[in-house]
Amino acid sequence: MAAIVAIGITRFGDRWDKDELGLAEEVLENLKREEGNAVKEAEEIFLANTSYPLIRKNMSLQQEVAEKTGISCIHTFHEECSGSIALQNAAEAVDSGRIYKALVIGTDKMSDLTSAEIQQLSAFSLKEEWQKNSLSLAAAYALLEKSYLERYKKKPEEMAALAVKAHAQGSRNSNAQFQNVLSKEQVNQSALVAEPIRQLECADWCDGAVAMFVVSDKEAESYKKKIYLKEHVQVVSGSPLDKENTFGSAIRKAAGMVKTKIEDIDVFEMHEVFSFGEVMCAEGLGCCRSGEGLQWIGKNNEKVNPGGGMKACGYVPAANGLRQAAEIVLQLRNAAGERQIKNAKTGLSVNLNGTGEKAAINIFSVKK
Amino acid sequence: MIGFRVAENWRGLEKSRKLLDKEGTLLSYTVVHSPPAGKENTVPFYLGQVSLEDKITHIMEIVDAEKEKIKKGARVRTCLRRIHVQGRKGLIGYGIKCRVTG
Repeated sequence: MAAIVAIGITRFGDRWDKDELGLAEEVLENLKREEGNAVKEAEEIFLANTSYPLIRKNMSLQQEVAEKTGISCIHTFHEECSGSIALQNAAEAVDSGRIYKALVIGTDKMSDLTSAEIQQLSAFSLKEEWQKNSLSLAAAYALLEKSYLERYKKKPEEMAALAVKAHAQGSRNSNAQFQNVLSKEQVNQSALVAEPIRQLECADWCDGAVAMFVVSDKEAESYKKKIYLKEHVQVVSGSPLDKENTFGSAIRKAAGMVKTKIEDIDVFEMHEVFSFGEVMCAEGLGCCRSGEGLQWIGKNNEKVNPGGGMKACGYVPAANGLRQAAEIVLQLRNAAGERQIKNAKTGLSVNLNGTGEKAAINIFSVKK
Repeated sequence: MIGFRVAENWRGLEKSRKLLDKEGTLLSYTVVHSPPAGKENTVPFYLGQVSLEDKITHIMEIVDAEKEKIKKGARVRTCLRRIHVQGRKGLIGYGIKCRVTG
C-alpha cells in the first residue's frame, strides 16, 4: 500500500509572476521543507497538467520538468481528474515494485484566460456537439441543478448555504484563494451565470500547484509523517444530461467499488466547481438518500471540505485532486490547525470531470 | 471556437441535415448570462435540452421565441442558424438551433 510521506502546496489564485513550470518549481521547494531529499530520491515524476495541452496546444511541460529535476517525468492528462489519477498512477507504480519512490505534481495556469475563454474551455469534457452549441460547464450544471430543484421541490436560494459554508471554512485556510466570509444574501444577490447558478456559487479558475512524495509500503516505515492511500478507483460513465439529468452514475459506481464504508469516513473532500457539486457528490457517494444532500451537508458541514473546497481555495483543474488529497493528509496528520477535525483517521476525496462523467475516488488512512 | 476547422464543419453537414426541420419537446432550459467565447454579443441567451424524434437528447440554443413561451414541455422545431464566425474575415459556421412552435 503506497504512502504519502510529504506534501507541498503553493498559494492558489492569480499568480501573474509564475507559469506552470515556475509553479512546479515553487511547489517542489515547499515539498523539500517537509522532506529535504524527496527530489533527490524520487525515481519518477507523475505530472498532472491541463493548461499545456488545452490552452498552449503543446505537450513539452513533461520534458521541461524532466530537464529541471533530472528525473523521468510522465504527463498525466485526465482533464479535471488529472491530479487524483496521477496520484493513483504513482501509487500503482510503487505498489507494483517497479519503483520505490515517486513524486506527483499537479500544476496549472488558468488566469491568463478571459472569462469567456474559461466558459468555453470549461466545456472540454462535455460532448463536442454540445460544446459547439455554446454549452459551458456552468450551463450544464445549471441544467442539472434546475432539474434537481424541480424534482425535489427546492428553491435555488437554499443552495446559497453551500457557498457560505465554503467561505467560512476557507477563512481558516491560509492557502485559500478566498478567505472572506459570505452571507446568504450576498450569494443570492450576485450576478447570474446560468440560471439558477450565481457568480458566488462558482469556483474561480486560477493558478496553483500541489506536490506529493509517494513511497512504497516498505519504504514508508522509515518516515514519520505517513498517510496511506488505502483504496483508489476511477470510473467513466455517460453524461447525466443524456439520462434525464439523473446525475452521479460514475460516482455511484466508483463508491460501490470501494470496500471502506461511508460511515467510517471522518473527512470528505468533495468536488464542487459549482456549489451544487457537493450535493451531487454526497448523494452519489451514498451519504444520504437522493434529494437529501443539502440537509446531510448541513448536518456534517465540519467534515465536508474543511479547507474551503474548490469554492474558496480556487479551481486549478490539474491540481484539484491533489489539493483535496493534501487537505486530507493534513487532517489525518492532525496538522490542520484551527480547521482540524477531531480524531480524523480516514478520509475520502472524490474528484469529478465535467458533470460527473468521470469520477476518481481516493481513500486515505492513518493505518494500513 | 476552439478546434473549429473547415473540413470538420463540412463533415458535420450530414449530421446537421438529419437534425434539420425536426420537431421535438423542450425538456429543460437555462438562461446563460456568462457566455463562452464568441457569444459575448448575444447574452443572455436561452440554451435548451431538447428531445427530437430520434429520442436523443440534444442541447441547442432556443431562438426567435418570447420569454413566456419558453417552458418545460414546449414543442420546438429545429432550424439552421449561424453558430460561429471565425474572425472578422473568416468563415461563418452554421448549425442547428430551435424555435418554440407551441
